[in-house]
Amino acid sequence: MTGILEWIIFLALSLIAVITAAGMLLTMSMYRAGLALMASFVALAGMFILLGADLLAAIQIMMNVGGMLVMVLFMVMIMMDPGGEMMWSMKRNMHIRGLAAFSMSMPRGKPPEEEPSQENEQHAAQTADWTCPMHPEVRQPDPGKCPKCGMSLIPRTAIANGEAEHESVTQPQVYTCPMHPEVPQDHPGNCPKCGMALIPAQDPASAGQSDSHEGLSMPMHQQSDEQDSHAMQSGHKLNTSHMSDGDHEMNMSGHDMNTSNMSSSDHQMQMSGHGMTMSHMGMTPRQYYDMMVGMAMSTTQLPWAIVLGMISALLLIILVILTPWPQATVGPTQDATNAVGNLLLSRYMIGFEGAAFLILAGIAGAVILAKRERAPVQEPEVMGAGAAKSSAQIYTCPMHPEIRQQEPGECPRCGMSLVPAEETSDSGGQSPQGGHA
Amino acid sequence: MNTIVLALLVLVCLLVGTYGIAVLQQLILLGPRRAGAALQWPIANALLLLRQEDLMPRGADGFLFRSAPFIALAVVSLTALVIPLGPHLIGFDPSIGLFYFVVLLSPFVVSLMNAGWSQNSKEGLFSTFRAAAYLVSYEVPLGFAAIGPVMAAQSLSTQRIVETQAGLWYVVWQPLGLVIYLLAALFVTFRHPFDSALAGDELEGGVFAEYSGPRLLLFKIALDAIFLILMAMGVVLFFGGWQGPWLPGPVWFVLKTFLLAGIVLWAARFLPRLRHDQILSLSWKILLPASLLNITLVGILTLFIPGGGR
Amino acid sequence: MPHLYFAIDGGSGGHLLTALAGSDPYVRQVASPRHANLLIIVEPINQKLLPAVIEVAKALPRPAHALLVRTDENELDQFPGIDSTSLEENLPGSRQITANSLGTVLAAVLHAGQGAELNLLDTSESQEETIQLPPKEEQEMATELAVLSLGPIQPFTAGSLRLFLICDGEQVVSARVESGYAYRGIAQAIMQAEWQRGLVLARALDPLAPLACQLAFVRALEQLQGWLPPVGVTMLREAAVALERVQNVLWWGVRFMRLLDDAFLTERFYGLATALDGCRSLLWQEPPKIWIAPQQNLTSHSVGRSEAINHLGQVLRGVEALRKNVEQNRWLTLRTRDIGVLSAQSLRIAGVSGPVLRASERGNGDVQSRLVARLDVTVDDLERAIEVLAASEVSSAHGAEWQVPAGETRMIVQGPRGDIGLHVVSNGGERPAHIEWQRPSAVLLPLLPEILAGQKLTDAETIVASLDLAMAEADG
Repeated sequence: MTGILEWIIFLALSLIAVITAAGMLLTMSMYRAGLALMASFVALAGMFILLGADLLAAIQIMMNVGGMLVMVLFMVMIMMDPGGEMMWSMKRNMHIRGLAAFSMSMPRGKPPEEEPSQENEQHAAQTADWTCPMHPEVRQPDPGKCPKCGMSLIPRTAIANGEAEHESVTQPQVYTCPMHPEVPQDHPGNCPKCGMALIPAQDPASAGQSDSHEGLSMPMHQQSDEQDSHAMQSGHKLNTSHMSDGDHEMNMSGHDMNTSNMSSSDHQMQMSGHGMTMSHMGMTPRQYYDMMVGMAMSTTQLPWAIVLGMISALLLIILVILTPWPQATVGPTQDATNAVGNLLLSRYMIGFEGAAFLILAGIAGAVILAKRERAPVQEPEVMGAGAAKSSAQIYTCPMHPEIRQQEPGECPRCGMSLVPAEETSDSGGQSPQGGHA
Repeated sequence: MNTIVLALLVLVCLLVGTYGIAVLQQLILLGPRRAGAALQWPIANALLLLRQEDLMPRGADGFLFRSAPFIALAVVSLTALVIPLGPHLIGFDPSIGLFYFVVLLSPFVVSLMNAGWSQNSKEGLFSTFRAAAYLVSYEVPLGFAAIGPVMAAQSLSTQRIVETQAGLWYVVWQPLGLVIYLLAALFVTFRHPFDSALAGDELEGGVFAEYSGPRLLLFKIALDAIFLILMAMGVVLFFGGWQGPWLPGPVWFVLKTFLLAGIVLWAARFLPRLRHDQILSLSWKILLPASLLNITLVGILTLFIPGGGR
Repeated sequence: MPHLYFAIDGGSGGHLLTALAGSDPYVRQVASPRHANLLIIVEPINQKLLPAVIEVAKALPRPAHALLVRTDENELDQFPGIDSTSLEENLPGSRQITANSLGTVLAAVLHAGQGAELNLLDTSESQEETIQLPPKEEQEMATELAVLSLGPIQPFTAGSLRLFLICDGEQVVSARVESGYAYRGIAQAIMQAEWQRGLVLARALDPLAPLACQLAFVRALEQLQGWLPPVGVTMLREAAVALERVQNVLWWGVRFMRLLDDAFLTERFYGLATALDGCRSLLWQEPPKIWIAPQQNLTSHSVGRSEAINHLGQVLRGVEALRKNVEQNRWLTLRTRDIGVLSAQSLRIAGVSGPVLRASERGNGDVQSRLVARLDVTVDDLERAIEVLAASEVSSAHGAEWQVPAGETRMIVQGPRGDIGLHVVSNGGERPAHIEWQRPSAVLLPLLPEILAGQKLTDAETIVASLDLAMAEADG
């Protein structure tokens, strides 16, 4: 390949590698992040091919594409907002422009001091009832961390106070949807567009802040079709939406740390940030700050990290240009790979054979042994086998104890195989899955 | 310049071959009497799709949606580079040709998954997960089935594999490997009866539900092309590639490829589309042990068959 | 110029659309409207289905065309209270044709490119619908259930039905059915029309089995009139309805096999279905819909074509061979055996009849047994029809008698999907006092949620297809 072509390809590949790697950090969509990582590695593989190391390139592609794929699958399955759409619409609602939309910013400034609230602590001592601002159904007698989201618990009455405070401020009670601020309703209920529970809106005087308020104050639930109103039908008294378990890696960008000009919206947001924390679900500013820190994808040491990264990058570039170590001018050959391949295929073939045989034996053994184990125990799935069963045997579903059938089979609600219901544990069978609606 | 010309040649051959596969499909669908319609249909369909407007659903992941067909076609073109058409007719002959080929099949499925995901529709998402499950499931049987010829030829290079079959085609003493390979190939290309991810009627088009116009055309071309490539690789691995008397190498190769493709497509007509979990259990419960068995057998036979080992 | 079309069936287009899909190499049906350049709508479409039709029309990429097909049978606008909408206004640029046979439609399709183009713009914001889901269990894993909305335009039923499948991955946890998309208000309209015009409406009750409905209506009237037709006439009518049942089963077979994407069996069913259609047109000098009419005496005799009976024999042999194949086909059983088992008792309690009940009584009630049961019934029907036609002279009478004395009667006719029942009350006037139909598909609909819960997604679709629901009949 001629020199120029090689240079062009090298530049293109390296550009792709760097840009996709950066894209992975900046994107809000988890799917895209996984793909960007894949793409970066594939670009690296291309560079390996340029160097003549074909096997390395192929292995690189194989490992990374497969691995990233599985990672993406799990992200889509388990995480909230894998597509990043919720984050985008929040930012749209907050009217953030330009690069600020990509920042993973932290709350600015020093953390506010703890404000020991006398009445709260007294009340807590009396009622011994701590709860999580995000998950009001959590009740604990002691302070600590919420088992669902890890936030520090607050006394239950703080919420009630915060809510009362909040409500007394706003004058006509217009309820609106956190995701769709244009939806006004005069009574609480569900948003007609996304089904989220409506929250009281700010009064018109601070309408300029209201968008940002909604955007910032209400942690959002994912808005895609498939998860419509499923978890939003919990009617707990706060009227806030219910976050699904375990996921707080959301980006609540308030302002852009990197741009030096503070636009008026930034000012507003800073102010509203302060103003709203008082009424924000009854959390103290310190707690709110902690929550934001917890949810940002960043650390307070970010500036240090950036400086360190720049210095090391500069160092590496200087080293690459100057190359102060002794170099050989011999290029890579195919002999090494050929030699390895020959060794593998001729001398170590028996090893592969043995491994294959062992795996086969293992699978066969597992299948045979598994079959033998199943024979004495009657599988409920074996329908119509005609084996003798006691006629008084009632079968029930482990998930739905109200299903009772004479024959074994599958639960019509969930498809699980029915198990024999024991007479003695009838009442016991109800308890763990207790609150079935 | 040589590189670019070579690349373009490979691309042209690929497209011509894809046209051939499309015609073959139509012939099997319509019967041999409608040869004229069979020849015209792929071109007419392509023209129709080219004239349609290119839509994108609202809320779709724009970049992924638009780029997925290009990625698919790019990956297929890359795999086409290592197919040897004749004694010295090959786009790119690294010493690891076959491994390179198998490895590149994963990004192809990734592009299909992107398509399904980016559509912002539930049907697309279901199909995406199905496609991902197939990717994970078929890779191993396909690789293992391909290891048989590699062991016999003692090389991963496709050209070398073809050359060592001068005496005896591998299909003769590795029939199990061929069967496994063909089944896994149907998986990869999402062909009936394993096309649950593209599930025409069930999920309103599956991964392609929201695609229209030229992008859909690219996808269809990519699908047909990857089927062609896999059949071609099957010929390379098991049927002696371009080896054959009297006729020049490339002619033999094309003949064998289309014959194999025709047989596979015709046999697939007799099956209904298998259910998703049936496809997966086929892969894990039947193909995987069978491919391990195949490796064991082939390894032993390698020591005995002349020309199949040293 | 190929045409890739997306078909919308308002309820009466089942056979037509099924036949169209395989008839010409340049006319292909596609599964998603985004892939199509032609929209074929079989009228009538009612108010409930209209928004979905408009959405689909907007989804087609331009340049696109739309073809609105009406058959003579569906001249229902003359009746008040029939719920059908004028599509030409709602789909500017569409072309309307009246077609009774496949050939006409095919010709229109092939020339569709020369007409005006559909020019609906996709500009409106679509309202995202919210659906009440069962409340989430607090103890469950943090995975959400997906609500998959199939329909209302979907290929599993003949007509439009909306299925909400609440899925946990590939498994359906629960299902909800929303019908009414094919509702036309036939039952009310019959009560407001005179007897003679009521016959037209009765035929339209199940557009895929008009003869059965017509026979039920006619027999009910004759019973009220107190006339018992001679044996020959009865047997001939039976033969006509039997052949209609056969036609329904064969076209259903084509749809079912297309759903399973089994090309080989689709072709065989298709061949038999077209052969039968050819026979039917040759068999009678006048179509049965003309001479199945309430009468009080015979007036004339005419003879049918006997060479068509040989063709019927060939169809019979083909169906027998197909039945054997279906039972022994190992690959088909992978998709059909032990799927969707329904117990005969629960079906009887629900009032289900026909091949679905027969399958649960004689077989084990899974999808394959329903397939086999339908083919069995077809074989019986064909044998009986051949007997009757070969033996007797065709006698037809045109003098229909429309005076209906007061009285009350019930009549049941075996339709292709089950028993079609009719309860008529007359007070001697020009209009019926009360008419009530029992429709076989309508009793199956409420059973769907229970049947589909716990099935895999693909199986759920197969089961719905195996029940052969004709939504026009189910919705009334």
